[in-house]
Amino acid sequence: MLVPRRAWPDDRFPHWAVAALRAAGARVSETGRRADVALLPALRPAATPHVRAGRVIGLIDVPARPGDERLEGVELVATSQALAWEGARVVRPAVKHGVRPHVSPGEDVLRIVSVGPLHWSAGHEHAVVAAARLGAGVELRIAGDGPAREPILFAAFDLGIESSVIVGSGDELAADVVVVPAVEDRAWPGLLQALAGGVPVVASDLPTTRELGAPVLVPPRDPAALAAAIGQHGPEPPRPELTDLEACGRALLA
Amino acid sequence: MRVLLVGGPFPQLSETFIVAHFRGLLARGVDVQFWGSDGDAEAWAAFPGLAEEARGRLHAHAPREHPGRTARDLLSGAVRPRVLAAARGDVARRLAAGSRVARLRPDLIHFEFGVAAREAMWMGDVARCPTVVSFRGYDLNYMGLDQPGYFDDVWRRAAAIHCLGEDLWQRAQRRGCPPDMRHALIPPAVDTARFAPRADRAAGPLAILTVARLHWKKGHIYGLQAVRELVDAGVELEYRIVGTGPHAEAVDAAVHDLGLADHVRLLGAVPHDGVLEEMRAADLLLHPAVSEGFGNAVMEAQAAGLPIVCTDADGLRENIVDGETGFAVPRRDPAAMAAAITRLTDPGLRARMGAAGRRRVAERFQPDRQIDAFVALYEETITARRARAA
Repeated sequence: MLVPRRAWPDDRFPHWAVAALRAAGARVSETGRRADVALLPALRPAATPHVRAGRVIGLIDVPARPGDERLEGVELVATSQALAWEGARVVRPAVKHGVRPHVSPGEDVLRIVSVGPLHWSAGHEHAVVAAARLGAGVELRIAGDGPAREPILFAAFDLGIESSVIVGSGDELAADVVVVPAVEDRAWPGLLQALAGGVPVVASDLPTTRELGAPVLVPPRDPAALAAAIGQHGPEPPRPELTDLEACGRALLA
Repeated sequence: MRVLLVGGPFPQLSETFIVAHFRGLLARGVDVQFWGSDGDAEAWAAFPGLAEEARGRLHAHAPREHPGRTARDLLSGAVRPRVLAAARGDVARRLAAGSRVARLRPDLIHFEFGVAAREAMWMGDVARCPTVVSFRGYDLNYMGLDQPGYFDDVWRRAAAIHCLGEDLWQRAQRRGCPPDMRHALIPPAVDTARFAPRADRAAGPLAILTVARLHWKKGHIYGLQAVRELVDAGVELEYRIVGTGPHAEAVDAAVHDLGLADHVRLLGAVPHDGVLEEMRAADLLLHPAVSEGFGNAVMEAQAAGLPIVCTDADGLRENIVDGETGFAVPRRDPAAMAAAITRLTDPGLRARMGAAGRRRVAERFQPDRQIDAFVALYEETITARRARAA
């Protein structure tokens, strides 16, 4: 099984698919050109590698925009019904573990975790603005990796909350509330982690976040609405089925 | 007085202010030298006569060649033969650079950007002269925010700093600059003669223009959200955006997601003359930045007689006069931008604010005044160093 890293834009490499395929018993490589099965982005690939595979799966993980080049003549898998084109089957991502509810007796801080890569599509700046609106007693962790740290750090500094904003992902996250301030429709793994753990979630109202059952939805690019929704809702029943990596891997290969 | 300017590629199309600085000093009789890298052929072609003026004055070196640093690194770290061989070359190159700086014998070194100065303050030591460091916005606003003491070497070793305005001076202090640092607030300048406004604007939809790189700090997404609100409110408009850059995908996506494809034109990179034409065809300039040193495009648009809607980010508050030459609204607030633009659907108000902006730029931001201020800063700094040495 080949999931060639150079074919994927940095913010979209499907780590979840690699983990799921491994859980299903596949031998997965992120480099090389030959494999029985290859998984490639169906839209906006970072590069088009010369892959020789008996079977090529094109993953639809972002919405198509005018001018996009689509990977043609391959088997299509979409990460949500909302993203699927004609002929694509839907395989929802699975995640390794859920976000833990934050439990720290005596600590009077609301711990917010904003999930998604450090990339414009994740909309983290809106989470920073929302945290600033909430004022003291809030800690915001931006749980993602990537090169785009500057806009987030600047927003925190500009709004005077730099001491309350932490940038960088941890291994296992604990949160009072998870926010998904995304501006692009995707099956965000961070959302799945939050849903799996039963932690309260506030997400941008996008077709896929709606489809995945995010309990509280707010308009994208609206920090005021995001701030107003944070802390207003209790925990949800955990959804452990979202951590069934093996089933997800088998579905990908079906 | 011999002044060594330190910058990047010279000349550069996006840094016309550096060329203006170089030429302005030359015209005042300052023996100005430039330490940087050679600009490309297209850039040289864009500045007729500059090659002749710069002959013998351009010293092509990367500014980050610290003669002692690599040697220190070698002594302090584990060294493998291949690394050692490469580092020997580095040390030789850096020693040569230091020697060339010393041989230039400048009376003063002026770093055009704070970030470049961070790695090159050694140049003042080897030349045994004072250093002035310019801060133009991005450096103080967002570079190294997660690295405590990012500019400490500059604060420790610079004889003076130059900021484009009061906001940047305040930010410098917030980032550790001692309040008693010698400093000068010298705004950018613009030649208003190049920006003659068109007398009669064509009737039709409200023509909104933004001239800004497609970079997150320019806040294009907020501008597009404001335009969406205006369209929803029934305002007939066309929004043209000049610029290209790393945030292009995000801007494209926002145009698409907000359903603005029929109202927005992304023009990409446009030559300077083309920008002037865009300004002459526009009704107002929208500058939705979240961070901005001063905003050259905003100043140029005022010179062209355009009213401005901009944010209150950083130096923009000093660039326009809120309520007089345009409106400065809170940053990251599309509704406030839309409200200000709505007020400027009144042609009479646009004309009054445009005229006021052009007058103000002609009075406050003249190139001669800017060069006067730089020469005064250099003279004061050199005099102070000599007095201290004596």
